[in-house]
Order: sequence, then structure tokens, then C-alpha cells
Amino acid sequence: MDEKKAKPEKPAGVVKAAKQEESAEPIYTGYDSDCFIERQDLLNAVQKLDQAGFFLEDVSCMHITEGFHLVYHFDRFDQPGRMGLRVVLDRENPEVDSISEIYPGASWHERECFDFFGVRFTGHPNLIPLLLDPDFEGPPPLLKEESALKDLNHLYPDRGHTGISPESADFTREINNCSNQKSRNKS
Amino acid sequence: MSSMDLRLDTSGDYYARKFQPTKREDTLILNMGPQHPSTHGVLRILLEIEGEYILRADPVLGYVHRMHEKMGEVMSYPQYYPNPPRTDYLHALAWNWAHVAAVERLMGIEVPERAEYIRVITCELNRITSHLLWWGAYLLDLGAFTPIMYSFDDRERIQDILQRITGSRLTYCYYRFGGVSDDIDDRFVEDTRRHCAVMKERFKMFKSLVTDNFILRKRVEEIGEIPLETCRKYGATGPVLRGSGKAYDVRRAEPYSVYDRFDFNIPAYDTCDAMGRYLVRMDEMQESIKIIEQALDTLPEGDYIHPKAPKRPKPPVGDIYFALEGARGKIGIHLVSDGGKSPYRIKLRAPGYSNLSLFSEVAQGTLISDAVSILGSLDLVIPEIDR
Repeated sequence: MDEKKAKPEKPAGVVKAAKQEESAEPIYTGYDSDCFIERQDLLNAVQKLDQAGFFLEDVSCMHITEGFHLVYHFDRFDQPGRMGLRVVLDRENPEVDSISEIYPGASWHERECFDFFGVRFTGHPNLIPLLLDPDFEGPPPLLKEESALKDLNHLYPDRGHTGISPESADFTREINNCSNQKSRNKS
Repeated sequence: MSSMDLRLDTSGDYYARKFQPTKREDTLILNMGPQHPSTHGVLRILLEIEGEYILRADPVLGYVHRMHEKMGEVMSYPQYYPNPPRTDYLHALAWNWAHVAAVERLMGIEVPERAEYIRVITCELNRITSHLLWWGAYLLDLGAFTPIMYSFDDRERIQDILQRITGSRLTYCYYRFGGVSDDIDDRFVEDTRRHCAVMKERFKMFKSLVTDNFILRKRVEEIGEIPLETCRKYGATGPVLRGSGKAYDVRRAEPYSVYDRFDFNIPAYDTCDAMGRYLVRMDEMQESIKIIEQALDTLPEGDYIHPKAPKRPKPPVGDIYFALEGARGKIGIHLVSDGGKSPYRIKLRAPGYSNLSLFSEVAQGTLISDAVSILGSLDLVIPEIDR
């Protein structure tokens, strides 16, 4: 542990980056592995994560120009490392398979996304309001105004947004190599 | 008069009607809460019972929902300081820290070493107050009145210590981007050391007064068994997971701040019952004291906040997930920035939310009085669950 003390924890001069405004690359992302997948591949991908011993942290949704961007966060007890599965839903048909069959804990996270964004989860056993009043009227509260929407290219520049197949060797490698050994030194 | 319909309307509200369909006619639908004292706030649980036994249970949430996530999107980063600590008022500093650290990491703000030490010390003190309140309240649920008097005595003293430097007693908002709002002084160090010594003696008394008590053991041993696999399927973390035998702690698994410099154990019990979760928290308080004492011994000199820390941060485009260990488990913040002065999206992961979601499964087939014991052993803070 003593060697760690000696070396500087964060790169010097990082405060400057803040002043330059949105120029510097984020240093720490908290993701040890993350990838976009296609909507129809979700169950397959989650099944693979389940077999690899991951647990579901949460399901985070956001409203973007293309529609909705869902991020499923997974982590592992024995080999800690965060895996983010990103799914993009188009705005005409914001619907995706429910993963609550595989992870029953996802049930509430999905109901929360349904509450706040109106995203529907096919095959969900009990898709009713959870945090909002069932009599609540009006659009889902976390939808943004048209003028405030940003698209994927703005939010996630410098990376591809097309999904990789859960059957591909890339995906298997992502799962196997998912470990925070590298990033933990940076935090 | 004779035509008056005296039958009660038994259809119930929206959730009761959704819950109701059942083939059996000899069962009863019962609302536990939202005002039931053992739910510690406003949690409501719909129960289908046969005699004293629970056949089905379904928690109904949202009674203190305040939409902190929406507030995050309309406020600037510094304006949002007081919000995360108000979700989990018992371990407020951990939420304060999660928010601050997520922004710091997204922007690459440097935190002086002294500030990191101060954060560790205050956050661990806060963890002890949280566990002490849980301890007193849980035993109160189980019918023991005296322990809460002792736990509040100790808790108030820690709150006095924290109040002097943070300015508040419960919903602390002490951490700032790049450090903390004020430095600690010699008196803080002295008071903390003295109280740590007192607490160590108190734990012995707690053990002989309560932990070894036969009546308590009857109420918690082999009650509410949560297999490890259930914890994984529901994403349960914190003492719930460690009470099921997995020594997983974010402070060790995903080290943040200066936790990797301290020597402490991650207590875990593989009994999977309420007693396991009870013992994990009792041990954790002692581990926290170990951390605090080590941090006080090696407290470095220097700034308590980075002199160039930005007052109005504008993080670069990108998203970040930052997790840390709160008193109830893994607190996570998913922050998405579009380069503006307020977040594009801020998602709060409350550990209690995932921990409570397994209750439906665990409560099946238990007695109502045991359900009270199980709920208490999950250490629920409803405002954190409802956010």
C-alpha cells in the first residue's frame, strides 16, 4: 500500500481542464466495459451476463433526440468491474423486452423507467406506476422539451453507436475482461 | 333506514385492486402501513394473509417521492448540493460525497489529500450514527425499549461533533467540489478521539445487553433467510449482502478516495438471516472506528479545498457512474453531462430500493411478526427508496 502513497493520485493540472470547458476527455468514467447492443439482442446479452455472475445495479433511462437511451448497469461480486449495456429505443415505439424474468430485481427499475419516461417493457409481470401517483395526469415527468434534446452524437462523441451482437467474440471478450483493476488506480 | 347499505367497500384503492385477484376465499388482504411504525416512514405493504401467515406481499412505494432526479436536471451543479443528502437522511454524507465525487471525476477536479481524509473521517462518523439509529429502532420494533436510549445518547454526541464543523445535525451538506466547506480543528480531532474510545467500551456493553440476549436471538435467528443467489438476482448490497456471506464492500471492491490506505475488515456472516445482518452492522461500527482512528493518526496538513476548485462547474460532455459504500449498501450516481451548467440526466441508485425489492420473495410463508423483523433487518430509509 505504501507505493500507492508516493505516486500522485490524479494527473496534475486537471483543474485547468475545467476552465477550458468541454475540451478535455473525462478521466474516469466508472465503466470498465460498456457497449451498445440492439434492442432485440437485450435478453440474449443479459442472459450471458447472468451466467457470468453479474448482478444488476440499476437501469438508467434518458430522453434523447433519437428516442430513449437505456443503460443497464451490471457489476460483479467476485471480480468487480462495471459493465454498461446501452440500448437505444426509437421514439415512435419506446418498447423493449423486460429482463425481470432473468433478474427479478429489474422489475422495479423497469417500472421506474415506465413512470418517468413512459418506456414500455414487454413481458413485465406488473407494469403499473411505482413511484408516481397512479392518478397522475400529464406527460411522464422526465421527458425533455424538444429544444432541450441532445442526440447520441452530441452526448457520446468519438464512438460508434451501433450495437454489437451478444454472440460475437467481442462481446464475450468484453464480459471476460470486465474488471476494475485498471481503473481503480485512476479513481 | 332498512334500505341503507351497511356493507363496507372492500375493493380498496388502485394498488389494492391490482393486488386483489386471488382464487382463495379464506384469505385476507391487509394493508401494513403506510402509517405502520415498523415501516419507519411511509412504506405500505399489501399482504395476503392466511391466519398469521403471509402468502403474498407487495410493497407500495412513492409516498414521499420528491423527484430529486428532475430537480437535478433543472438546477445548476452547486444548487443541487443539498438534494442528494436529503434522500438518505441517516447517511447523508455518503450521498453528498457520491454527488460531489461524480462531478469531480467527470471534470477531473483535484481533491487535496487533507480533504480526502476529512471526508473519510466524517463519512465514517456518519455511518456510525446511521447504524446506531438502526440498532435502536430495530430493537424498538422487536419490543426492546432501553437500547434506543443508549444509541441516541451516543448518536447525539457524534452529531454534536459533526455539527461544530458541518453546521448541521442530520442532513449534512459538507462536501464541496474539490474539498470540504470548512477545515477541522484540534477540538474536532480531540472530541472524535475521545468519543471513539468511549464507543469501544459501549460496544462491549451493547453486546452483553442486547446481542447476547436470548429474547433477541429468538426474534432474529433463522428469520428472513436470504440466500446469496437471491441477493445477486435482486442486486442487494451492503449489510444485506454481507449478512448472506459475501464480503463485498465498495470501499474494497472499487476503492475510492484514500480507503486503500487503511487497514479494516469487511465483516460477513453466512447465516443469511436477520442475525447475520445484525452482526454485520455491529461489527461495521467497530471497523469504522478503526478507520477513523487511523485517519486521525495520519491526517496530513494542507488545504481543505483545492484553491482553484471551480465555483460554477461545467463538466465536459460525457457520462460517468460513480459508486460508493453507504450505510445501506452501494450508492450509485449516473451523471450525464451535455457540457451545460446543469446535468443532462442524473440518476440516483438507492441501495434500499434494491434491498427492499427482494422482500416480496423473502416474506412468503413467514409470520407477520417475523415480517416486522425482516423489514427492520433490511434497514430501510423510505425517502431514499422513493427519492
